[in-house]
Amino acid sequence: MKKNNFGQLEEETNAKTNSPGALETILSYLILFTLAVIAVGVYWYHLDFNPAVKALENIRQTPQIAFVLEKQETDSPLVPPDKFSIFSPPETFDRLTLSDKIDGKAELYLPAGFENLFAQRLTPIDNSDVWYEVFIYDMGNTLNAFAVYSAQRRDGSESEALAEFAYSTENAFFWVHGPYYGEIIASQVSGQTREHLLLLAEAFNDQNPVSTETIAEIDLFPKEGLIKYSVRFIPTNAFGFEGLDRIFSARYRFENHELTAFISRRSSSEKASEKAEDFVQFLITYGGTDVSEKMDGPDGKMVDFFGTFNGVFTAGDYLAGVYDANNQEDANRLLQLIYEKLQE
Amino acid sequence: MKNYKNKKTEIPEEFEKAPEIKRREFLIRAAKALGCTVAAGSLAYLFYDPEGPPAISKQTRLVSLPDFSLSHIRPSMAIVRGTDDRKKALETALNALGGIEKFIEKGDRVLLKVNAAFASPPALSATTHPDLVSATARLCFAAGAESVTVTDNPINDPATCFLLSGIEKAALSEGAKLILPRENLFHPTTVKDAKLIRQWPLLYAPFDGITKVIGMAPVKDHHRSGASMTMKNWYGLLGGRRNIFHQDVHGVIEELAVMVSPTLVILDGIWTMMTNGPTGGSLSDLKQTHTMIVSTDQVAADAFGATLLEKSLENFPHILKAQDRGVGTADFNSINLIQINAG
Repeated sequence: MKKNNFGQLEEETNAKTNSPGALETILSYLILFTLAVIAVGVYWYHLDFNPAVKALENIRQTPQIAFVLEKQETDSPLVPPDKFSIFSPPETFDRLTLSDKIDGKAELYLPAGFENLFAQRLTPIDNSDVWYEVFIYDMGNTLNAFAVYSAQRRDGSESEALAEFAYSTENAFFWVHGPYYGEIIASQVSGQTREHLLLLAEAFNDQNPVSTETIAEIDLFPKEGLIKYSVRFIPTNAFGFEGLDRIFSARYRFENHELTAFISRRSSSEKASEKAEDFVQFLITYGGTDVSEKMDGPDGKMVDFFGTFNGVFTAGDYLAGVYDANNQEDANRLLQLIYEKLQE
Repeated sequence: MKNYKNKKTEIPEEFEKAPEIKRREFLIRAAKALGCTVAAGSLAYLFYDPEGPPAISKQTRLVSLPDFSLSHIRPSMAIVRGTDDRKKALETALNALGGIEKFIEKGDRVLLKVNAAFASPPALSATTHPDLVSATARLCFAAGAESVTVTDNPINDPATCFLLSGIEKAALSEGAKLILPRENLFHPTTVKDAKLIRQWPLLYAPFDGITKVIGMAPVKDHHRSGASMTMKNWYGLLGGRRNIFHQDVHGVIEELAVMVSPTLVILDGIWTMMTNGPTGGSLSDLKQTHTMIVSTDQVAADAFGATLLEKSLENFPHILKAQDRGVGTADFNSINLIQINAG
């Protein structure tokens, strides 16, 4: 290349001519600073990118392979045990958003004192074809947790030793742990399903120690004729009566007839009597007939409600009775059993 | 100012001491900067929306769904019992009604409104079974449908629901289109004589150009409404905080039944969720009821579905309310009823 002295000089000249002044330099730095701030802002915004979308993309890109995180991204109440990895990100729901997860069933949890729900899908490391969705409902206290547990107790399912209130079905595990009501649901059944369900439930219990609470009212129900696992706690609106709250109920079977017993401890004997009278009036208002002369045993009232017999009495602070009996003999028999039990 | 053009070998002393910008160059630079500013400004103006996205409540253009029912066909329902093969049950039911061609013609653009409410596996029967989706789409295409679109506005995250329920795979494998809900697909609607669904966001855009609509739902217990079947399935076309309607769930189901006049409904009772609906969770919540219902009358279909739930119509006021509104009849024996045992 021919050395062109003129050209060199001209370039140098231009270079000097184009050298930025102090103002240009400041403005340039300002612009660069602004761009850097924008870049940081964009980065910061996307740090909060919807984790469900990220997880979904992973699932899509690697079908049948679980979405694995090194560790939980949130304050999760359940760190997956060793044999499990994360299939989808954790989700949490409060009173306002619960129905976004469980739709109409939210109406069961909300009146029972629901506080929040944690849900997450996990998958066994050695079988990513199956996933387990863990639901942990924080119900505020054991009684509330028992309310939703007992309302959904599956007939014929086996109790589990993990907790006082625990049972499993072919593909699921349900239990109460302190203020928590837990459900673990398998996406499909395999030979390892039961082992996996237990592992996850145990992991949650181990990671979330709680003080043990017993529910004394359960033992107030007489054993004769009691249908196993039928005791329920109904926080509000028992038997369709809005004023009847905090009721324990249990199903009984005498011969081929089924009927319901109920017990509720009120704040005083006067309050118990008031509530008993309210319930009787409710039944009468909606078409029942006072047939208290047919009630023997405890001192109380009986209402024939379209062919079913309903008896109510009080014993100290307790309101108790029988609901939906097909005949007065069964109703009286159970009323007497309850009365005797309450006297113990 | 000196003319440097003719000075080819000398270095101007001024440049050495004071490298000042010249007026000509300044003007050129200023013009470029101005050009960039105008270009950027124009671009920004192009994208600028001075009003922003309108709130749904402020939109004035109300939409309503056309009537997709076939008025020339007398109300009919086919009930197939005794098989757990959804494809076989569906084909048998449709054949009993005169064949899919009686309902889907060449060139039809069909929309399948599935129940993809939850991100749960098919085995739990909380959502429309993917086998039923693929079988229906395949039959529609075989009848000459130009397109088949599958949509729903699920309760859980839509993408996860369609993926984990198996509906996405079933739809796409048959060449159907899948439309997931997005905000801009909703338009406000007011149902005729409605007390609840008034200026409420409706998943309307997927119906654009659609000529036939088929509702597809499983038979399920529902904690609030007692049952979730074909009429309740239209709930998935609503947007917004639709759970507020749970306070009058029978009323809103009645209005939904008025809102949508489908070509057909398919009620899947191969498995029935007897308890703990609408989510279920345990396989023990399900009962194998071996039944498939295909009907032109959604009220009749749900009335029969009530029998699978082993409950009487009095347990489901929305069925009777829909009947009173003239949507259909709960007396399914009064329509052209065909019952087949495919076992």
